[in-house]
Amino acid sequence: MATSAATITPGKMPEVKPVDGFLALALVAVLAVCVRAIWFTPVDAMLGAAQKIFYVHVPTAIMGLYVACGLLAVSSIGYLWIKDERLDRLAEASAEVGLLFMGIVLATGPVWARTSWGTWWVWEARITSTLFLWLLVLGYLVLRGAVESPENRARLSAVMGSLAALLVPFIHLTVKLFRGMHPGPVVLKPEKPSLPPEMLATFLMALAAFALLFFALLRVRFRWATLRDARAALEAA
Amino acid sequence: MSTGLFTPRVAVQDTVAYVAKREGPPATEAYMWAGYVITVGTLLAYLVLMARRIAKSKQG
Repeated sequence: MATSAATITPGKMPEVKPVDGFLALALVAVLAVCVRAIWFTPVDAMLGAAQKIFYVHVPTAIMGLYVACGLLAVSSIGYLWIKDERLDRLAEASAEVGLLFMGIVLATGPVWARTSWGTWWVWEARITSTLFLWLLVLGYLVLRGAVESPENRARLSAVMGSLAALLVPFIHLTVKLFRGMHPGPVVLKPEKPSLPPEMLATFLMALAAFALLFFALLRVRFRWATLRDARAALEAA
Repeated sequence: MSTGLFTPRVAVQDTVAYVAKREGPPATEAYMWAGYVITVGTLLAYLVLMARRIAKSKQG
């Protein structure tokens, strides 16, 4: 196996901080965007203030489904190809941070649905398939914890990770393939976005802030995995 | 008269629970706060988890 000897050297621990400058910046950005969304963005005439859940629900969905699962698939396939441990750690970090973001999507969605659809949960295609993806990614992380051998763990989880991510294009198309409660595209569509300029500005800022937070958490999670593997290598030596 | 006949049909076809009201938007602030508390709380819980993991790995 090609290893990342440059990152893991027995006797030399990588430096990892729980909150570094990048993560602190991302947290400030997310807090600022929450303040803007709650106090400085107009209230929706039909749904009231609950519509403001949109500014956390949609950006976390974009990062958790498209970016995290995309990274999971690419790094898993990359691992199966070149067998670099860093790709295995990137896949693991993407899965965990993606699970966190998808968890926020699945938790905030029902709160918003209660006000806009009059019910907490609907077994429609997009919600159900997102729940399945969340369970698959959870299964991916459980599988990693259940396999002792690092090589087997990396290989088996890479296969599962690349297969789980195949659900993402299906989830994307559910609003076109099935009749459901979720609306079609609001921002990314051939016509003008269906949002007033103030709401669109808040949404784009929220997307940027949650993207920063995603990559900051991914960085911390990846570095911790490097530290954990270095510790394991040190103990084995 | 014709307006009265059409109104129920439009209402039946509308799948959205709330429609714009004369008195203004519905009072759904509690749901908004619940959404933001869930988001911020989940993120803070994950940060605490990562801090504990890193501290444990450093201690060995």
